[in-house]
Amino acid sequence: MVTRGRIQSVQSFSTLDGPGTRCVVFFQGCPAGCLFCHNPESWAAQGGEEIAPEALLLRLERFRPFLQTPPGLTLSGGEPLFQPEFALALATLAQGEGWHVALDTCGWGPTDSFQQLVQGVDLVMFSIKHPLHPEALSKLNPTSVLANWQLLSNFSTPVWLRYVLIKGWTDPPEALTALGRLAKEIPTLERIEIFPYNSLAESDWEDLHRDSPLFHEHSITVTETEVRQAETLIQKTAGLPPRLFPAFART
Amino acid sequence: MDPWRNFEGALWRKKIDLADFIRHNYQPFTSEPAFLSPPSARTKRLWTKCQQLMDEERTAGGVLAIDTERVAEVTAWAPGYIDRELEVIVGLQTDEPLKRVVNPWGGWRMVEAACKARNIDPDPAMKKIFTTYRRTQNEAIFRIYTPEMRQARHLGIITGLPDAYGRGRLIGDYRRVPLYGLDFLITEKKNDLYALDNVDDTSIHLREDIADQIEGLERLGEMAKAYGSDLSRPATDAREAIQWLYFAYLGAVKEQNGAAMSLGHTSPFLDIYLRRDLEAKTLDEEGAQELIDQLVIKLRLVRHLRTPEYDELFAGDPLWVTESVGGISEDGRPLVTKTDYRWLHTLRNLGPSPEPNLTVLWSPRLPQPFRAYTINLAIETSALQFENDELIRPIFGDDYGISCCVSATRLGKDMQYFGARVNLAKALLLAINGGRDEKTGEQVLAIPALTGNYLDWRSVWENYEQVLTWLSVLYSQTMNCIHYMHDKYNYERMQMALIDSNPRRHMAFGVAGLSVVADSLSAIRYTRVKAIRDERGITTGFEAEGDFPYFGNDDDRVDGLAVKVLRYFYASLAEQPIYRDAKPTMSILTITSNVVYGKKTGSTPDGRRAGHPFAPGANPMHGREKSGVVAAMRSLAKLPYEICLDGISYTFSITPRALGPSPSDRVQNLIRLIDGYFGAHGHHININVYSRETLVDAMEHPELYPNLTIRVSGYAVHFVKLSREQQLEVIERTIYERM
Repeated sequence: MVTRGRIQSVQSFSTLDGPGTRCVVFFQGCPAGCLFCHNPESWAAQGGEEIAPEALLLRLERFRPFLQTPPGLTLSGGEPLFQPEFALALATLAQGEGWHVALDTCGWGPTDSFQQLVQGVDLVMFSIKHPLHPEALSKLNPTSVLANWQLLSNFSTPVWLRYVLIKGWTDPPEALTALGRLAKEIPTLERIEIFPYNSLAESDWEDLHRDSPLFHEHSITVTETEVRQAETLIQKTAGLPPRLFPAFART
Repeated sequence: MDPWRNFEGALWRKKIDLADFIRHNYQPFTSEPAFLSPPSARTKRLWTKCQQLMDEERTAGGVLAIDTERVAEVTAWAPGYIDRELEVIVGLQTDEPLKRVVNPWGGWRMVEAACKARNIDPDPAMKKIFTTYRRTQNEAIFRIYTPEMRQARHLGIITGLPDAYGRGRLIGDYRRVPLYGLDFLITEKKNDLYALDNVDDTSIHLREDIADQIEGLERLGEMAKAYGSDLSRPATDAREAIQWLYFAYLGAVKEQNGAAMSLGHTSPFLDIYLRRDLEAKTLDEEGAQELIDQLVIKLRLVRHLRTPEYDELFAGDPLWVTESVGGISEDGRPLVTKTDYRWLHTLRNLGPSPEPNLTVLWSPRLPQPFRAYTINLAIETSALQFENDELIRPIFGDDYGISCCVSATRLGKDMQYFGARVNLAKALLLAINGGRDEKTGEQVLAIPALTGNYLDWRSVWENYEQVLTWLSVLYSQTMNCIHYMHDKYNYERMQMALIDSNPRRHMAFGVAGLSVVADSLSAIRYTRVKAIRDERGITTGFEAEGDFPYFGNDDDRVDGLAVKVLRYFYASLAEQPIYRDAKPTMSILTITSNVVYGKKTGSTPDGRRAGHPFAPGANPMHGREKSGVVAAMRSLAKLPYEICLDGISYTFSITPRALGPSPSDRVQNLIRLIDGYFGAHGHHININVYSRETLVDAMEHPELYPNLTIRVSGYAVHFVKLSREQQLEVIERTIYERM
């Protein structure tokens, strides 16, 4: 049976969406509505391109000779959990052909689908929008996201935690301390990537004639030093191993 | 002393055969280059002096001095030095460093325009000679141009033609002078001359060529003698070999101001001499590096006098002293020697520089240390380009060099008739406008006018076929006129003397605006495009009513259109009679002229606004390769090299961060990308690793970035020497940097 899905676009080369060199498939459709989203075009459930996983993988195979071995594939979006059957079918097919598959998710989705996908990929990159009050920045259901995060400790799939540092929104010490506590819960956690907020998203929003309250705030960007300070805080308060914070995540 | 002592092989001793000499005597170097030496004290002092001179040149507005007294000729100047005590390799174009030559052979008007731009009056006696008694190439060509040729040229449909300056592109096999000495070479040429019969134009033409070449070789000997070198005999050691080779090149640049004056592929050859001296302990590594460093210093000082219009086309005073390194021998051994490293090492010893235009002949079979070394250097300097040796070698053999930007040429065996390029986008607008020029409204050719509100794919393509056929006839005939007259009035005796007497000739046609045309055809084919016509009935605007695929996203629908246009145009060119039975080749190459070509072209159906720059070379249009670099490379690799033997130029820019987290990741990832691109039959790639912020900052504070070197289409240039328009275009180019 063919499980067709909707994708927004394909990126043929990335070193920033998981280990090694990778392709990224941006799924169409995301319910999260994050105020700092860098890809608001992908929100609508409809639109994008409808495609079968087999056809999509064939397209990706053309890029394989340009990528390191194993070639990487990151399911991103949009939100892959929003199209779980399609995501799983693609991940399974790709793994069968030797691709290293990563799931880039905000963690909001049905528990069953989430568990299946976590077991069906080689890496979960879990973006926590806010450890205490995700609802302030997005439409995420905090309980559902938290439950899925905690489920990760039941599986052997390696996990990367990703977090965007936004001044005045995600950088208060209590938020960072809470983030550290969440990190501590997952034994398979391999890496914590703290990204400084950048304003690149703003022009994407303008293109769509949308507006985000974030963009009206002054000085929500952070410096490299502040990212480093945040990392230290997270690491120290939760007693995390420093190796979780690779130097390159800061550059 | 026997100049050929310790050399192996027999064939090359009897007749000129550099490939045979190299095959028998070179030694591949496959280890890590731990042997490399810093610049000698002499080199450092000499280079400091040169840098001061180049600063003065920059301050003086780009030209330090012009010799208006003498006409370009190999023996016209007494020996010149920078600092005799410090120079181990000697010889300047004129009697002073950076003093430029007046070269009236190509055309007197250009001399006047170039001098006028610098507020200098050319010598009246020289003017009288070249306007009254001696016809120039430029004058000769324009006398026989048809009105149609003039119109196509003036409207910018056929552009950048070498009808007012030296065509360049010829690479003399400069290695012949040190290996054989002039006496041997002159004897060989005389044998060729006397072996020809006198029955027709073809053979008499060739006899005159050879006679000119012999005279050139004799004059070359006189020039070198004034510097105290006896070129009549072969070079006996490495210093002489490098000096002899440089004199041979110097002879060419004293007489010729060709757009591209490339050097070839000299490392394996010079390495044989350097290794012999190193083994005999008459030279040490510092001395070996000193010889190469000082040769490169000389190459960095070569200058020609250009007009402002020329500078606008080819920004940054480029010479295309293209020198290749690397490659694989036909017997399977890598052609990499220690001297390949010594050449590359000059970028560190003397700092990054656009010249010489260092080109790596790339293969997965190159030694791994060499691959890593060159990629590291490319990331560090953005001064290297790479060509696919596995694609080129089966067609050109293993003893080839890159001429100008990207064009392979067998050393001493091939010559090229450079032909710049046609503007394919303007040609498409002719097809859409019933053969009328979209800017002036002039009727250029007679084809049916398109009248519907929407552009119909079939009608547009049928008209485009007619335009391309018409253009191939006009273009080839124009080229025939140019090269007949160039041979007659501005013959390159110095270079041709170091090429076989009856070489294989290529007529190097070219196209610009390919990605604009592919995207425009894609719009017409895959969505509805409304034609907005003005009161003259000329389409000046286009409205695409839906999405359509863009070239550069590995989408066969549009990539196939690019290939379709190339195949159609090349097939038409190949049917035309070509001067001296030259074989037609084609390039997809613009240099920096993509800015000027864009300026001369109206709005196009792809949504590009009138006057907006084209993408450089074969690149996808700025910002339209939405699927990332690998998809873009896949699209590029579909362009067929077998009909584009003059080269397919791709300029790639990426930020360090997007290339990988650590320096070693970046090297490995870039190696893999290039292997992938060339494995898919890509031909050429310029590598730029920088961030947009650096370029923006350099534009605002040029004084902080005097050596910032970037690769444009087929050559490297100091960013600060580009015009503001060109700088903005470079900044607008896609720099892969996704978050």
